Amino acid sequence: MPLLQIDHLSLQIEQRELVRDVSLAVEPGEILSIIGPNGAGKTTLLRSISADLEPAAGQLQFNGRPLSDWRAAERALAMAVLTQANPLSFPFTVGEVVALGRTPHSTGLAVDREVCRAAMKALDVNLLESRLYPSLSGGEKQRVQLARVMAQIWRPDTGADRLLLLDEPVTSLDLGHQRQLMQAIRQFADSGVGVVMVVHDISLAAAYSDHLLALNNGQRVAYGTPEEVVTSALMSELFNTEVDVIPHPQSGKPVVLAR
Amino acid sequence: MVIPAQQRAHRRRQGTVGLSVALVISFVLALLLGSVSLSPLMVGRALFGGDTPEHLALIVQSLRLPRALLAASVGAILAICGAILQGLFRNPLADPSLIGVTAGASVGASVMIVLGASLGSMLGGIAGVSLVASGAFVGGLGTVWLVYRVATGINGTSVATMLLMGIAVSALSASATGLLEYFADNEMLRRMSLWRMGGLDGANFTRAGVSSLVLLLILVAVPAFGRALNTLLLGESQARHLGVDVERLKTRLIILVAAGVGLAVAVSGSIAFVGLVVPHMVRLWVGPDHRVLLPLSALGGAVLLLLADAVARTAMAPAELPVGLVTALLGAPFFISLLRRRRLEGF
Repeated sequence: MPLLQIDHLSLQIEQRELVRDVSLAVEPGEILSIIGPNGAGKTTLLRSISADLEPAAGQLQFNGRPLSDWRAAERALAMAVLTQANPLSFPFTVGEVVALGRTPHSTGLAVDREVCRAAMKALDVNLLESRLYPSLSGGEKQRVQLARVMAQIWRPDTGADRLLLLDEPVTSLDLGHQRQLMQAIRQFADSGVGVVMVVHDISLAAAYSDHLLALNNGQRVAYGTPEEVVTSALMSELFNTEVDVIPHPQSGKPVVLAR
Repeated sequence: MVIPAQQRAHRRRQGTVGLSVALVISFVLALLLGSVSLSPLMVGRALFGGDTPEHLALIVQSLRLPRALLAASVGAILAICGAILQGLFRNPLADPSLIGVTAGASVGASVMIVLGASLGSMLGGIAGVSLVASGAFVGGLGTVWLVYRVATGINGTSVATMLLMGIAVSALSASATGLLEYFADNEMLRRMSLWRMGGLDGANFTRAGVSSLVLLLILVAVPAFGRALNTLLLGESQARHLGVDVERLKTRLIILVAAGVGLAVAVSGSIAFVGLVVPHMVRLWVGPDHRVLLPLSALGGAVLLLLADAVARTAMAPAELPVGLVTALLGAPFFISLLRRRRLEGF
């Protein structure tokens, strides 16, 4: 039984079909990255997995149960979501923001504090704990928000397997922090959490993901391992520009170069 | 700027103790001060049935005591409603009077004064208050809902839209009230205009009792909302992903605010800026955590309105200023400085 199973999913917003007949499956411990050009329906797909959007057709199963059967409070114990925009302007401290991730739980203050500390350490924001969130840089804010959603599903508190959804988690970050964040996500996945994320940087997605899903105009154009999906023919067609794909000299993972 | 979590915890204790002491002091001051200054000894005797001249006992028991109770409870209600609105709108500039909720409640109350005057006089005092109060409640409810629907999108609430909605609703309310005045008779006119100035001079034990009761209900309801309101500050979809039933939360908060502001308007007219100034000061001191912010705002609001009313009663004694004037005199410059700071910070 996969953690997340999607069959023939179609999504509409205001009568416009944005995703058509997409199927996929995610196992615990697996990272699936959704790639594709702007407007391909990546964020829309992610929104339906996070139950923000009702499917027009098809099925979503989370932990073997239809997603629509999960109550919000119950779902929040096993599924955490990081959206693109996080407009928080109130002067919470970093520690308080991360602690908000424990809201769905009633595990007690001691456990919550321990979890938050571990999550902050994993994202390298533990030294910022006492700083005020609005005073942070964009990259720092992003790491704090990621620490918050990781703290939400840090431990398997219920019987259900855990799923982390991330919408462009590294887009606004510098090279060093991009790597650091992807490594933290990889480690988190290795502890048994399924991860579905939207990523713009194909090489980065290929280096850290188990599977890639390429979307174009709301339709699945490729789905498989990075080596299967990231080919120069497919990438050139997907982004409508000539690219070369070479293996990374160290890891052997495909790297995309614009021509 | 670094504010260690420990300092915040320390400030929370300080704030709780400090504001509680301030509440006691300002309550006592409210009993002592007025057009006739009384000594603590005399007030004590008058309250606890000691030997005092009859007119002094009357002043304390049936004028100053209910008035102090009314001021404290209305101040607390307004401040807590301001804090809730600011959380709901994810915007520290929301205030019941600025965004038109007070004006909406006033129209509702005016309608009830005109339509229900005969009904109210038949039913007597408490029913009269509750009739006007329910009119104010419905007016307030409609306005919060309308402003919220228009001003809030996925990225939070637009300050500009919110304040412009306040202007629009206030203008609409002014014309509606004008229309009502056109049809009102002399007695109703007097009641409506007195009441619009925002004063606590109509204080009696019925009003003080009703508003204390509403305050109590709000204070009982508030702890259940603290945590959820905190997640709402992250954004609506973020709160939903944390398992909060956002639609139900919003509905309940809007009803709570409408009940609070509607009641406050019904018993004391429109008193502006308490809901803006108090939560703002408290937030600066202890941070935005609603579990602390809401109760401390209630304390601070009670203190502020008690002191403002003491000023209103003594500044031009024996004449009395409407307390709404005093709070506006205090609040408007504060609001302007907030706007200026936000502009400088590039909001």
